[in-house]
Amino acid sequence: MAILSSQFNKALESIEPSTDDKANAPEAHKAVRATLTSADELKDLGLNPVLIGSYKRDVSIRRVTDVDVFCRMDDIDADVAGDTVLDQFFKVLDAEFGTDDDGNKRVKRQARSITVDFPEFDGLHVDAVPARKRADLYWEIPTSDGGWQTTNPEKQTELKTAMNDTFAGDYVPIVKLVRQTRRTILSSRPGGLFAELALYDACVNQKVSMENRTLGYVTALESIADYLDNKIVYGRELPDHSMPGHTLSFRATDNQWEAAREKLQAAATKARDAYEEEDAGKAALKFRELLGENGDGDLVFPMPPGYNEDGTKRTAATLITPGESKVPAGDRRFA
Amino acid sequence: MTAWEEAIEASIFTFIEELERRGFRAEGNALGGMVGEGDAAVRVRIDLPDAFPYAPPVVSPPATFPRSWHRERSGAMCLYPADGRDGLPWLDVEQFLALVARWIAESRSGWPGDFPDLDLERYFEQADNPLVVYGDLDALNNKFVQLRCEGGVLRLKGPGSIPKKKRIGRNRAFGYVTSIGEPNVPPTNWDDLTAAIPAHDVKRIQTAVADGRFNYLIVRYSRSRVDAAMVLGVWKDEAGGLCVASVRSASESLATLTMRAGANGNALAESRVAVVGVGAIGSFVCDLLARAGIGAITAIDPDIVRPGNLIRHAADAESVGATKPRAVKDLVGSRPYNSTAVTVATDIPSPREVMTLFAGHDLVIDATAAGDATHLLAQAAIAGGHRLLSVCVQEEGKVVRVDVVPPVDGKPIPATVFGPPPTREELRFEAGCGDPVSQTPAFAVVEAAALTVRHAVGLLLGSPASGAGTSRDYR
Repeated sequence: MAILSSQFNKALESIEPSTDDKANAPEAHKAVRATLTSADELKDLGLNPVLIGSYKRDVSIRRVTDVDVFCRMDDIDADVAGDTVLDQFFKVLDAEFGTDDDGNKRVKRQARSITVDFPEFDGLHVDAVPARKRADLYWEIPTSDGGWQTTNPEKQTELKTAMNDTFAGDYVPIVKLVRQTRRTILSSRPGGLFAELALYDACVNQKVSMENRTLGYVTALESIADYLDNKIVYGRELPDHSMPGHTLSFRATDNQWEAAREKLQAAATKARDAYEEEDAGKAALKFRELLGENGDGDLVFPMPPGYNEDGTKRTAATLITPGESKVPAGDRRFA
Repeated sequence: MTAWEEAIEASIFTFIEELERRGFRAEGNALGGMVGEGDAAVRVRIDLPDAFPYAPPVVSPPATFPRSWHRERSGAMCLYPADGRDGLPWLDVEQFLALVARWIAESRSGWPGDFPDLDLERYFEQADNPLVVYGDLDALNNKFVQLRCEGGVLRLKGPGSIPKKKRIGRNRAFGYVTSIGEPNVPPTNWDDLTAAIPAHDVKRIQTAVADGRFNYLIVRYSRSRVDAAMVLGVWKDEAGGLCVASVRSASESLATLTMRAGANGNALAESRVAVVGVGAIGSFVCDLLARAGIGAITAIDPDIVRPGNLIRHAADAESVGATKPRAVKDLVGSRPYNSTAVTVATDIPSPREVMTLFAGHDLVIDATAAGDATHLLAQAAIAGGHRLLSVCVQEEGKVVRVDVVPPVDGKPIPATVFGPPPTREELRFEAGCGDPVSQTPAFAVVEAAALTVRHAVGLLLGSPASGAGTSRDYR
């Protein structure tokens, strides 16, 4: 069995958003928020934007590439279409942010949001998502066909906090490790939000071990792999725990789901092998493969002290050992 | 990171990893986890000190765990005595946790069959007062005592009432001797003590402390039927309550001191030893014999102490000009609580007197390294059926030997095979000395003396260190 808690702690430090990430994300968010709330054209909507998404939930990993601003519209009329609001947002943001130094437009209209690029912040972008409140206290965001789709992102933040308490603070680190592994083994979709919410569902169903963080990570991968198998074989959807009775949907092709199943199953097997490995060096090598490199290109999982990069033990690791006296006289001495 | 630093880090990693594999959780260099089975399991905290792996982990039971012996004042378990740390046994995690489990079980059962660790003072707050020394306390129980400042220590002088009005001199202090018997758990403060001290003693102590003219409480106790005492500083706090803190203290009773003279110290108290020649080796022989508990020594040497002798002789600079036997007598007499009588003689016994010397002593030691004297003493020992120890260093200290004459058992040890004699250039001379000055270093002298006393004590107690003596050749 290999726990390697110190190495996992260092891995978490390695994937933690950098100082720049932590400085840039709020700056970008503030800039978008200020533009929207000060625009006369949007005054009637009663805008009250808040942060949502992985950054808000403290589960984002280095590098932070997107920040989600949930633009609550307290005064919007019920008959305004989703694409109309998106148009209004686009006009205001485009007028403010225009083009970058290379002449490229910084503001793009997406199906459900407006994206604002911040090239000065190393590729960071902000997604401004218009949202209106429903009678049942959930929220609605625009859909690609001009309508509205129900969501409850702020509840997701609450659920994360509660689950982290249940796991005595281990839930958030496990989410980050799983997101990092997803980023390492999958080329694109399904994305980090899928990994996070599949993990959350597994935690709700008590499939993720609370015995120690390492086993938590291993069982998390196993649970997500199991879910993917169920999804492909039986078409099982993930429940949306922020809105009981609803299910989640993620943008990915069938091929992408199939690839995700294969990669996650292999990752789960490798993680279990690593956990059951008695040799700390060999275990560390496997965890290193699963966690790959961070956004700066650095290997995430360090080898334990006394081990070579290939997992073999260095002489130094055997220098200080218990047992035979290093002084021939042995014990029971007086001086 | 150097290889050494990596070795330390690897050792810490392995220790933590092994504990985590057994269900502990780590937070930096601190771990928490359960030890024991079922209802008897106890959650412990394990901290790795800076000196780890060369110092044991600090293991603490919960604050609610019942107080017991073998705990640090911090509450941590005392797991490894100083004499049980060789081989860094805590690095074997299985054994380490077994020891913690054993500590928990022993602590719960009150440490039956425990070694009497007489360290009650460790459970009290520590004060930085001067060392308090005390003698036999038997006659002082339940009495006020006086103490005097003597040099760097405060010495208990005997019974003494606190003067009612007279101002107490700066060099005096007062205390009280009380007893708490054999406590099941160590007291840690005044409240604990009041439950164990006789009620009338509590009242007397409180009254004396209230006067502000009373500073020390000498608490007698026993563990596993071995008696001990500790000294507590005692004072009144601002609220009028009574506070105590342990003060460094030590017994200077004869029993305490002779405990360190060797296991047979008392058996040697009646022994009489003559040391013929108390130069460099002989002076240390006399000193070591006295400290081993020999009752009487006759130190014989006609020579006086010269400044040049001091580097190898046991005497100090004030002895320069005195006869060497006188210097030895002064040295032995200066030892605290010396019980050895030293007789000074400046004449090497003549052939007609030498048998009287043997008859009057249990053992004669020849430390003359003089051919004629050694020959006389050896032949007299053989002829008279006596035993002689003859000690010397040779080859400028590279050979150290003690001969038992005649051997108790077997043949004499072979004669020393000499190397080429020193050249004229290698010899050193000093005014007033007819012979070249030996360049034997002091450490060879002390080694020869120690070896001699080991043989002497063996012969006196009837268990010789060897039949014919010992020769150590370092060439």
